[in-house]
Amino acid sequence: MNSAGSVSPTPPGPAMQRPVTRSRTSLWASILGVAIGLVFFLFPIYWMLVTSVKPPSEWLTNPPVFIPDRLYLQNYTDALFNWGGLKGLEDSGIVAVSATAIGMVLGTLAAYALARFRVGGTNLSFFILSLLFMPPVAIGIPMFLFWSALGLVDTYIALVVQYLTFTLPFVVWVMKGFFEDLPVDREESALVNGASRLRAFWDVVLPNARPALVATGLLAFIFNWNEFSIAVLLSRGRVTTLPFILPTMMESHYVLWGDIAAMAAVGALPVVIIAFLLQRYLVRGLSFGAIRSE
Amino acid sequence: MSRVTLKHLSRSFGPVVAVRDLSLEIPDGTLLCLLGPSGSGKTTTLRLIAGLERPDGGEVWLDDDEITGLEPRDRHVGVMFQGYALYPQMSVLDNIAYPLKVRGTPRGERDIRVAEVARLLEIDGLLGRGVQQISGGQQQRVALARAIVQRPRLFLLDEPISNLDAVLRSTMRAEIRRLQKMLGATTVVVSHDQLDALAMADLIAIMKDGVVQQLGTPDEVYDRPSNTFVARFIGEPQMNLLPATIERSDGQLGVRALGHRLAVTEAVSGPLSAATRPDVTVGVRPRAVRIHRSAGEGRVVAAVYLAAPEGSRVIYQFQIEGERLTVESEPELRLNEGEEVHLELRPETLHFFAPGSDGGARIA
Repeated sequence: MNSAGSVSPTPPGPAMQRPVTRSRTSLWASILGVAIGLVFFLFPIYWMLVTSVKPPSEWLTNPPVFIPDRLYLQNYTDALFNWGGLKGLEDSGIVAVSATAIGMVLGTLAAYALARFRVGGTNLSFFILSLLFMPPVAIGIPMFLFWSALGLVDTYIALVVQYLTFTLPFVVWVMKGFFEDLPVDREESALVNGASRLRAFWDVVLPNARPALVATGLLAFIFNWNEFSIAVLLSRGRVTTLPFILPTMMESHYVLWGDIAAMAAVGALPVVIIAFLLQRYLVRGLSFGAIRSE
Repeated sequence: MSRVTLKHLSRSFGPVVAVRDLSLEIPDGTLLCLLGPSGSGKTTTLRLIAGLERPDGGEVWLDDDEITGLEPRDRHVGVMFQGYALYPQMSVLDNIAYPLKVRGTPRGERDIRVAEVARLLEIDGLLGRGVQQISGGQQQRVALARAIVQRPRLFLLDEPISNLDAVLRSTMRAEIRRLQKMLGATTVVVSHDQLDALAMADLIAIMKDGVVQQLGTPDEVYDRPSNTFVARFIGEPQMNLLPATIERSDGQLGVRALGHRLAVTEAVSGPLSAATRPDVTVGVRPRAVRIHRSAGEGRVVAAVYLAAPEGSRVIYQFQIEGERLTVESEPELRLNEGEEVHLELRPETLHFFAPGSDGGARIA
């Protein structure tokens, strides 16, 4: 062992220099590549933001106005107050937050049970996954008939429950994989140290699951926040989420691009803010394959 | 503390039988080592005692209480897991205090007791640290402290030594032994390393395929192994096992092995003459064979096949009549490979087992 340790490792010189010598060209090439990528992906967002602060005269001009001279904020007041954007924010918020919160609580517990106790054998967990394969349109008509028979079309509860049919399987599936990778001995140690199953879950499992919970929760929230097809089927004008409002703005003979852009910006903002606040968890949570037991 | 009694325990995982009709009594205050190769069912036995595994059949008793159906938390056993199973998000202090906190011990008492065990295990300087900032040896002490702090009725240690490096191992063996005697705690240690068992245990249960092969003190299992499996598992280098036949000449009983007639003691000639078959397995420990330069009565002539000096001893391999014989000797005796010597297999050092490739029972 000692002799192996004393064998001198490969000299660090050439290995360290290699990236330096080829840096000039390859560095600029990769910067250029990244820049093109960024323009490609960010331009639509930029265009949305710019359009949202342009006066109507600049919306569709040729050549286009890339940098407006002044901020025209009337689009935002129109979107929020004339088009019901404020109500849309409120409804989207209520529906998405409720569906995500309920989905996370129930889904995480279900995932833990499936991961640890083989509940329902091998078929139950695959059944749950299979729910995610189902296209929403396939259940559109029966779903509508179901809710109208209950007299609950156009209510929060209908949307929240309906969103859970997708949110729950998603949360269960992702968190189940995470729990299966988590070492069992910490939980067992908590059990022999006096904890109940639920207490062990709370004390030992959840703190280690935080990054995964945040990442999963955020993805579920984005899905619920953006959901369109179910919202269109179940809304009649009382519960109006933002994705439901947006297409209604195109029905007039003259499309109000500035108002639409402002509405879209308002819709995108909460997700951007949340993702920004949670980014330190996201990096760890989205790479849960890399979880190690030490 | 407590006496543990296992009655006819069994547990299978699908087609694999992990523990088979296991009965065992661990007297109060003893340290029992469950020793065996991997897959022998020793960890499953430990988990059955802890309640982390439910038996398919059989009972677990702690003193006069049957605890077979009890939840792990109601058994009041302290478990140290192989990977320590420390809680990474908690400090050393919170890890050790966890069993007390869960059981609702008031804060003041908690702090006193944590400080007490931390001092005992010499980790009182680490209490504020995170468990991932301390060394492997320190983590092990934290895990031990967490098992001790709740004053359990029983300690269960799963491979407590195996994650440590060679230097720490012997220290930790002594440490665990010292703690166990000081606390007077009935303890079950799972290990695959016979040195752990011989150095720490009052009693050793050697397991194979879910069955206890022998239960005895370290001296008993070393001096009188109950079958060839135990004979080979305990002792290093392994005991030599040689095929032999019982023979009688001039009314004297003896065995023929390695092409020579070996004399047997008075004590074993009874059981040997009662054997139904003439073939038998003779066991002799490498240390028990004496090497002579001169010929003598009953000595086996052999040339050194391999010589492996190990500092404090030399391990010689001899090849005699197609059989390999390992002999351990003092370092002063320096034999060269190919050199011819005379080996003395003294009658009182021979073990006799029923013939067969594996697990032949002791005859004498």
